[in-house]
Amino acid sequence: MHPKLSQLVFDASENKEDEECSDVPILKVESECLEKVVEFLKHYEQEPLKEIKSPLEDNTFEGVVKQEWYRNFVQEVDSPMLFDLVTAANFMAIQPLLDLACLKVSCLLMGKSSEEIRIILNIPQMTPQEEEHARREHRWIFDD
Amino acid sequence: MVFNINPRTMSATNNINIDSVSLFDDDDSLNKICFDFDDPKGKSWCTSSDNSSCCSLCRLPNDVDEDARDFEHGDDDADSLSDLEALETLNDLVSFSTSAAAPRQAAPLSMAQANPNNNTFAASMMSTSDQVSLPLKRQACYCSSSSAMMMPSLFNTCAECQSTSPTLPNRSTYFTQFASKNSSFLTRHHHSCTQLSPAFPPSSVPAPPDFLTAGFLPEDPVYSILTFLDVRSLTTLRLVNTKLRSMASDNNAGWKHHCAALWSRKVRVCDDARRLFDQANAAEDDAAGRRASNGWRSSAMEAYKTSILEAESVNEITEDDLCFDLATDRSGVKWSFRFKESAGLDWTSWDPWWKNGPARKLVFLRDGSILQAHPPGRSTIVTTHNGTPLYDVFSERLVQRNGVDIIPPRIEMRWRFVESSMDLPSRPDGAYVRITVGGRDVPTYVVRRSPNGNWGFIMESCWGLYASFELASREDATSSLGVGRRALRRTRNGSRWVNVDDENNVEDTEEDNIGRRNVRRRVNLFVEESAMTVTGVSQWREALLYNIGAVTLPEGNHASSQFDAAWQNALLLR
Repeated sequence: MHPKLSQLVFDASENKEDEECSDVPILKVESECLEKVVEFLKHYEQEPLKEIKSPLEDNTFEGVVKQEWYRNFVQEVDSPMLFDLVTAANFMAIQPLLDLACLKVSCLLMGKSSEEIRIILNIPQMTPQEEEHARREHRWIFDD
Repeated sequence: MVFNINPRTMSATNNINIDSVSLFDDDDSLNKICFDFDDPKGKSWCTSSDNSSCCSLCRLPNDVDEDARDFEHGDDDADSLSDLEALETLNDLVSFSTSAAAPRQAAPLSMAQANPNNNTFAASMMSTSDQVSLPLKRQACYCSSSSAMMMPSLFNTCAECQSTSPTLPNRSTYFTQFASKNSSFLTRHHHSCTQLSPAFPPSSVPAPPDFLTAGFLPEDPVYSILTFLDVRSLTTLRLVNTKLRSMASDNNAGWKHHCAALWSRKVRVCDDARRLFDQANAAEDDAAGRRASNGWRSSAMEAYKTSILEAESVNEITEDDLCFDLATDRSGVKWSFRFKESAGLDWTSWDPWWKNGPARKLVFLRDGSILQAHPPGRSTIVTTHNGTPLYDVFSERLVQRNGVDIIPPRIEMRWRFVESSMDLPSRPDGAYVRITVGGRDVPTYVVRRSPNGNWGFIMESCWGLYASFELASREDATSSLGVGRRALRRTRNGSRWVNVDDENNVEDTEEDNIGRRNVRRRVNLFVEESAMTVTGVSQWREALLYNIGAVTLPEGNHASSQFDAAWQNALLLR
């Protein structure tokens, strides 16, 4: 596994005075999530993920991520694990995993209504007055 | 009903202004949450089946004294409190705690009238606006005393006795002891029961925190997510809640990329939008300094919005939009010009566009003159602006007399704005441009946005067309969608690609033909006369006056009526 892919691990290993002990504690990442991160890193060593550029060339996840293994990697996880992966990738500073997980989240949100987004993200309702106020602010984009 | 509570003033309003309405375990939030109850007989309080960490109401703050945590499940004795006493106790608790936090006097508490249908529970962390909302669920809690009245309480119904208990502390003993030790404590209760009242559905269990906005994710990955979204998704996200509205409006949400992508397809973007975009760029370089000004964080989004709104609402041009010599070191628009077929062969015969070449390039100068840039053939330079040589219009023409080519006299062209035109409705300033050719007014040019959606302007009369962008040549416009490319379409019954102009394909159905006609209509927008909006019919008065030799065309609001009167007289005399 490429230690330099995670900036956190790389920095921690660089700072270790005791060269015999190569363990780096990752305290803020759950073990189940960390397993997925390790799985990603191991595969990345064999097949690096192609850079995901913004703005996207395609509106679909499959259109942007052409590599099948990476597509399947995020398709298999549920929403809580997906957000855990985002957190873990951010914490461990693994940019390719962060890009991939963030892209998947974006694709989940793309084209959805505000109500559907609330369901996906588990966010409580706004009041009708709040939503009406917000819609009035954006009439320029919603009036076709 | 959800109330918005300002913990400093303790004033409650019905307006919601929350940054985050989801629940999460955070001791800081516990210290900041206040409650406002406006109805002593109201029945709003927390519901929970678990006192571990279901919500901030059910969980004791860490700094609560151990003694204060324990008080017995009360029964019907002298320690039980009446409704009013309970309310007064709560008032005292909140007043004491808020007075420690802020010197302002807290508003008196009252019981909130909860929406009985509201099964959601949310207690939000203090946002920068210090607004908190707390929708509370109705809960029955009976005191086992003689009173059968519903007693307002913050606690669950006791599963043991079903008639609950004095869940509020004895004022005389507890309050004095506790308040002196725990000034930040707002309220507390003791859960001796772990079962909800059977009258309320188990779905009242508080939901887990939301994934995005409640501090679950740091800002950087959230912005990474937002940068992948398209514009419509970003604006939809702003409808979700206040926190997302703020983040989705931020420059870091990818709005600069959206601006660049949109504007790359447009020939003109208004100055206000560009100024906002520059502000967003400058803000990155000087984040600390600009943070003091309002709106800098969302200036890229405002730039995007402003550009679209301006393109949709502004259909008239200014001198800045029209002129080439705006400043000595700055060059403006070069207008593409061609005659319409209705102008006649005398004009179209030596129009380069009608010979399948590029359209003539004319420039409007601030002194009211019109000159030509890059004329085909031989011409004499009249002036130079910002390194661009400018020539008399039509100066490359050659006229033959007795078999000898001669250079015809110079044709001076001038321009001015007119307020209204004889044949056309009233519009704001900048809608009509009158051009004089060789000292004679020609029919007015009507300004409008380009119908191909590139935000450019066109000026059109019954005989000529100006465009503020490169006009497709006649050959390109009739044969393809772009220079060097052909327009193709699929046949209906298979996967074959055929040329758009191919009308002999036996596999085509009527629907295919309609599709082809639609494609042709879009491509030929500036070729076919039927695509034009200003014709000899709509400008017949001005065209007629020009043709009978008028030097100056009337203008103003009464021009049409004066012409009509003169026309009627002429007919009568005839």
